[in-house]
Amino acid sequence: MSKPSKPPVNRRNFLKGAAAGAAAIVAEPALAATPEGALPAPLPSSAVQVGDDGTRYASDYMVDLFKSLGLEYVLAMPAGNFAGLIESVAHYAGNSNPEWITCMHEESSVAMANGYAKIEGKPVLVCAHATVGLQHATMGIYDAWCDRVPIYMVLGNTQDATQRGGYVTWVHSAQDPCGLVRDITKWDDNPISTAHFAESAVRAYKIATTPPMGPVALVLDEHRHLERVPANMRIPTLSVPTAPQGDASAVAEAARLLVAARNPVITVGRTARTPAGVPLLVELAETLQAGVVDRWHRRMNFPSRHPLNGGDLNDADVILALEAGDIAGMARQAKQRDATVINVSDTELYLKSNYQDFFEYAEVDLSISGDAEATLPTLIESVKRLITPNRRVAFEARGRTVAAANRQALDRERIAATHGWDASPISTARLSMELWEQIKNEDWSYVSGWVTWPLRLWDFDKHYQFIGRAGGEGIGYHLPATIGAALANKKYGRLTVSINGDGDFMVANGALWTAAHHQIPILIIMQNNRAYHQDYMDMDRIAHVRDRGSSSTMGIGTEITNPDIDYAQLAQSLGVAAEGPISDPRDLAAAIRRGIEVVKGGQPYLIDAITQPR
Amino acid sequence: MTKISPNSKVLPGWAVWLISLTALVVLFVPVSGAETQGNAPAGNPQNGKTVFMNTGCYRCHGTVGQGGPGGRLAPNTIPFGIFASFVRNGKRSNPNANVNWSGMPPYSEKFISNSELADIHAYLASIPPSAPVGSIPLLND
Repeated sequence: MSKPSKPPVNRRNFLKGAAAGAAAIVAEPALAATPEGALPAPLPSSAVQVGDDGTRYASDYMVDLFKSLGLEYVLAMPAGNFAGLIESVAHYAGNSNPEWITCMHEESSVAMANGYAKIEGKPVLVCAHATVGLQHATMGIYDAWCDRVPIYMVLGNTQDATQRGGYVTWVHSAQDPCGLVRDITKWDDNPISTAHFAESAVRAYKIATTPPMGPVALVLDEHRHLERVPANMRIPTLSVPTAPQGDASAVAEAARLLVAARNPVITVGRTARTPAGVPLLVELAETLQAGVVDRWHRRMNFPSRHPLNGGDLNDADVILALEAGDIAGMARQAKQRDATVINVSDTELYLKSNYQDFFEYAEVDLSISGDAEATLPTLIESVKRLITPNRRVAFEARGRTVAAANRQALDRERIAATHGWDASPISTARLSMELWEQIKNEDWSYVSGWVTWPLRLWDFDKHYQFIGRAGGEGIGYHLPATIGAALANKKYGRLTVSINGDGDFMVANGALWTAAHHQIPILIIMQNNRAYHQDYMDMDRIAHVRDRGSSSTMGIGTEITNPDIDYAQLAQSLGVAAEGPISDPRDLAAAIRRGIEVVKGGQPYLIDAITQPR
Repeated sequence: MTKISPNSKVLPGWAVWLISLTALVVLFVPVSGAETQGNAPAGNPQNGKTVFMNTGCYRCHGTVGQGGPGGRLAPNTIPFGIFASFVRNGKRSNPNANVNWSGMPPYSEKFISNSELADIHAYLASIPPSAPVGSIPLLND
């Protein structure tokens, strides 16, 4: 492998220089490749195994290529058309960096990669069969697409028709495998040589991790990856791009509007793309003494107990939306009362037409295209430059008002949690607070978004403490995604906890075996309401609008009863220690303590809690 | 039923709920002034609980009316007249929708008779006040 002829750019100094020399402050890149911020070194850790003819296996070379990209794990169900890659990871790389993680469904592979990426800030490698495997994976890819999560996929295919050997190979081959997911991926390629594969592999990584992030897919040809290639074939160097920032003059105008506003409110969504986003958002809010409203909870954006967490959008004269998602209704209401809406988003920078994840068109007053987190440093500096002593006094008074209102809001949430506190089935508020009591003094990470009470009452202040939920709101995301998040948390020794709905759980519960087999520590509490409950409510609503139906028929198609599923036994059969069902809230605390002890020992644990419907 | 967003910071949930209910009463339902003032007919709370569970009310409102996707109904349940008009007429969560496919559906007498309605209200009225926040250590961290 050849080395770059030029000395590497010192990214930190480069960024520092750019910031000093220009009005704009350049944010840290999205990708935290190493703790020092350096680029991944394109060097294999294993000795290259060169034959007498100066060649090596292409799949060995590919392992070094993936290693150069910092891909820690391969998440995959096995498939014959990338078997050489499995063999190379096992015997050439010693199953380390990347380590092969056996998954039991390709949708689980992608969902695990999704959860991992939202914790770690970078992708892992997902391998799948290019036809039947990719077809399984599509729902997971859609979740990642809607959630702006980088997923890095390699898909095995048998491109050369003369090399296909019978029925299975023919029905498992495709002319254009990625066509299936082209609507929900940022980029794909079908390389025709190993060198081409290498260039596309690095390009794919760069595209996936540049905001707006998203899934990418590369086809790996079965026969090509089994070939031998020149041992000195070069691995292209990855250059990590900066995130797109908002136009400087538009940002300055936004700052002017915010500083002059009577009551500016910031609304967020996928704003804190990295851990650096949280303190930036805090700095902006505190500088303006403006409330921060998170309506959708797609990331941990802002500390939940911060005095400025919350605000009155209906009383705002200027609203700053930062990657806030669906803001059309809010913008419409703002327009009716002559309030100004500023939107900072990278949505328009990369869209496709088919799937409608771009939401209703929002009529805003100032639309700034760019990544919100990358734009925040410039916006903060612009705001600071405009603040006068008089405005500062006004800001402080405003901040006190917002803080008082937010304290009252928290008090109301606590009162709401008291209702049904001792009920059986267990209220979701009680479930959440019993869990909080046991983890609040730990280094915890709540990786599911199924139950909202934690977001209303727990004290979140770190980025990894919450990762949102399924971007595409598809069922089947939560169990594997939370296990993927736990995989990322494992090396930091964090206590990963999740509350998982029963309907979602049953889509891909083989992920539990993956957690057991690979010793991925996570405490999973079932929110077991024995129904596809949203659908029950929908069906009930329609029946009564139509004035028909009865109590004996209302559960058709929506209840998960008769038989009731024993989730503890199911988990145990997959190698996961478990207990339940628990329907008395007084039994929860001891069960959670037992679970945490097992999880701290490095294993997964499941508690089946019978809960109120919501 | 008006959906009370868990993250709503606009108005307290009870205020949104009450305003919606009041609007419904004014617009749609000819109920007597006495009923809206809370003079509920006598009802059987035990049977009310059975109907509340069998009809699926708990699916949105929780088994003790504590609220969920649907608003909180207990403790301190609303006056019978408002309650009855709300059950009979439902409430669209999306006023622009052509059909009421979201929000609270209407329940006709085919499925909840007038006496059962009174029973449900009696059940909700029988639910005791919740313990104060200060008496629940887990809510006082």
